[in-house]
Amino acid sequence: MVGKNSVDFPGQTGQEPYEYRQRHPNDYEAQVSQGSINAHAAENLGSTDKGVAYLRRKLRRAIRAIQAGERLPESERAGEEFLTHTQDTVLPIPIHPSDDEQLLKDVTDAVMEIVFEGDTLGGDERASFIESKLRTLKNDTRFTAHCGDT
Amino acid sequence: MSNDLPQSAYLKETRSYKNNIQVAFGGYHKAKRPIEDNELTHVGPGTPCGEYFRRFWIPVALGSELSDVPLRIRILGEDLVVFRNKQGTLGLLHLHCSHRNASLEFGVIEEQGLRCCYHGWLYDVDGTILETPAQDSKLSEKICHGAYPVVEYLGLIFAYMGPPDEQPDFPKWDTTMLPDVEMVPYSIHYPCNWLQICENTMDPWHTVFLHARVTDIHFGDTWGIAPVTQFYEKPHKIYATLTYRIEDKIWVRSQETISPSFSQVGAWWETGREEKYFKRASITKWTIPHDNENCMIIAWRSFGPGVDPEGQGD
Repeated sequence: MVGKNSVDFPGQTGQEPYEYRQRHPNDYEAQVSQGSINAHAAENLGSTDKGVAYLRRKLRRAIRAIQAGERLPESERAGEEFLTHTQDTVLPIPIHPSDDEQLLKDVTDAVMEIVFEGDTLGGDERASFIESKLRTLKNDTRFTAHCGDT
Repeated sequence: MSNDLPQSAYLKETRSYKNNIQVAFGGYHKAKRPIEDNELTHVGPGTPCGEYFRRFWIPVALGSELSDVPLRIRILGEDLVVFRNKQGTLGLLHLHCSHRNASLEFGVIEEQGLRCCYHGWLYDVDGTILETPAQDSKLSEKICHGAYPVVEYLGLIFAYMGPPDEQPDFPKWDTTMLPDVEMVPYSIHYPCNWLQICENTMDPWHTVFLHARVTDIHFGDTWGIAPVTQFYEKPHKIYATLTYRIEDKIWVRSQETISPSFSQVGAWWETGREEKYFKRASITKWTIPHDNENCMIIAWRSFGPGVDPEGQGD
């Protein structure tokens, strides 16, 4: 099921019948249909597209740095453990009555700060450091002040 | 499709396209599609983006694709052949024989190298020419065939295709060394440019619409909830966060894109309803250009209690 041109979640390979793909479009349909080379000039990026614009800006800077003769930083070259930061954390923190969006932003900043703080460690030690610090957030008064004394 | 114009031409084209008269039933004014941004999309030898990719170790094939005949591949606009010699060592060579350009995909794998079918030239995995049978000159001493260093790691074959003196060490990604996680290699071909495939991970809002609201729910039912999205940056790395309010829980998902086109995403089946901490990627992937108009995702799918808590992946 997982191998050459095959993965265990739907809509990634464009192998379904065309009509099915029209009625049930997924990643493959959306992305490939942008064109053989997506023409950015015809796009109109807005507030939901910050990440895309950000990625392109960063890519262009990196490409131009190579063109200018810069070398990759040593952190990108050393064959030590290469730390990545993709993760899911689910915290029991009740809804904020007036500004839950701000609460979500603040909690996200706190989660990412801890995730990055683990960069000084490696392997299991890093994982347990990050996990134990993340566990403290559900009782952190910065995020629970609206809950009262429960 | 050749329009290797300077960047200024692309910007001029963008401006003129945006400045077209914008009126209802005005398709006529926008009928000509604009050119692409070649600085970010073209990847052949000598192109700016192609040079960028040629500074990193990148996966080029699945180990399982190799057999007792050579495997022809195209990476960054270069035609190549990858093979495992009979001693088990991998080789990645330019496709066309240095003698008279016959394709080495029709070559014969031998103990130490690959022999061209046409006149029997024999290549070592590093491009050294081991034999030029029946030639009375010392041709083989003057020539080295195009070759690239290769590493096989957890079922993916990685190559470094850049300047030899710029070669970085082979990285050991943390998520490939987790206990109790099985990394299963896969690849998927896309008949389009690499960037539009790579960008998807930094487009957190597509999950709300494409994967939940517009037609079907593809993954978790909570994916249709509007997330709070934020971005964080480090050198050569961008992180997108999607934070969801799921009743009395806050689900913080972070995903990343790392130079040149590495990205990871969390569990496909995550719904954010159960308390959990620092659960890692379910997919570790690269978007690798075959050429300007074809690419592949080449990746590991991770299976294990941490990344697939409900056992829904297979």
